[in-house]
Amino acid sequence: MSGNKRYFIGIFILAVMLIAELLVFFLLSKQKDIAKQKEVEFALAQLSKFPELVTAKYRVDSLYCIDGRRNRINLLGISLWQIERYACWKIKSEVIAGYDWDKIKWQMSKDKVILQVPAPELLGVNYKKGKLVYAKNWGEFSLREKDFMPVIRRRAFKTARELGIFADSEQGLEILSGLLEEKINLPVKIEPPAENK
Amino acid sequence: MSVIFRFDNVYLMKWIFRGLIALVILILVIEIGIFIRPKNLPSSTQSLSLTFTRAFPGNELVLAKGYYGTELRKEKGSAPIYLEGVVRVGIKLEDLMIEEREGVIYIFYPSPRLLGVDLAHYLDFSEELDEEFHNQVLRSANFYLFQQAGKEGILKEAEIKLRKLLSQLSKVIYPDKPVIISPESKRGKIERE
Repeated sequence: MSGNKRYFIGIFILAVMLIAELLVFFLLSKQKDIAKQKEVEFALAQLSKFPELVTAKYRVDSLYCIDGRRNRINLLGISLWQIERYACWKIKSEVIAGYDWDKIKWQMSKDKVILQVPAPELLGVNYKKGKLVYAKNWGEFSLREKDFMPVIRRRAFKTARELGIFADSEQGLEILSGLLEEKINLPVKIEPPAENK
Repeated sequence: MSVIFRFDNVYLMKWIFRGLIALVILILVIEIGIFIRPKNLPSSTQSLSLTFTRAFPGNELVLAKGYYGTELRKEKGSAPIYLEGVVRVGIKLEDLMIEEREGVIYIFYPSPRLLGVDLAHYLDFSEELDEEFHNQVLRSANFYLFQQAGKEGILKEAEIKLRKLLSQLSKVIYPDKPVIISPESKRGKIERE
């Protein structure tokens, strides 16, 4: 076999080997992508068991005061002497804000995982207890939950928002993305959902 | 130029052959390097600290926060002064100790303590101002607010949250290792055992 023919066959074999290697390389990287995707899916499923990480809870006391007039002397349905009356209650409540897990979506790009997360939202204001702080000329206590709760709910939520309840929820999400990064060894980016952009 | 691209040029064929061998070996080495090398992960005790540091850059972990109200009376039945404000309780992250001994992860946490109190608002219900009592209450307003939050269990609530948080984080970071989470005060006892 002449020298150049031998080299030609050698080159041909090497070229075939090279193509085969590239094919293996391509298949392996595809498989790696699928494995990574499954890994992310598994890690997120695991993290979703701990919703406390993305939820913030604040105790909020609100003062609820009412005033009015009361008949002191009532003669045949005609009030002869009316007095001012005034009472304040301390209403304890619990404000919970955070994310709804079902609304957290994710997608994987080549070198990072993107978590599409809507803004945190108010999940509830729970009434705990009411306590009379001060009463003036208030005969009987006729405070009903349905009367004060709409006001208290609004006020407690406003206070919690001013105290940074949403920022605390976002911090919980930061921990979550940090954990995800640890688990999958890829950077995780938090973004608003596509429709909010 | 035509001389260079002729296939009967043995010298050129020889170098193409050598070049291809080098390329095949290089690709093989890269493939092996990518798919066989061990993952370069941080050591396990470091990873929890890293996660915490990344999540809480301020080094302060607020565990319980509330807007508390408390009323103070000079004597029983008298009109009160009502105080309300923010109470924050938590830990310093640098006080969190994470160790690994004989395959077991030990996390020792400090007792949650007061991180801050801010009086936001007050209301004096008395009809005649008792200046001395009024000023004394306002001077110590932060103390009274923290005392009230303590009575309502803010420290206990913070400790429960901390334990829960540490347990959740460690389950994710060390899924296959036993983890012992304990208050710093019980460290000596655990070490003796």
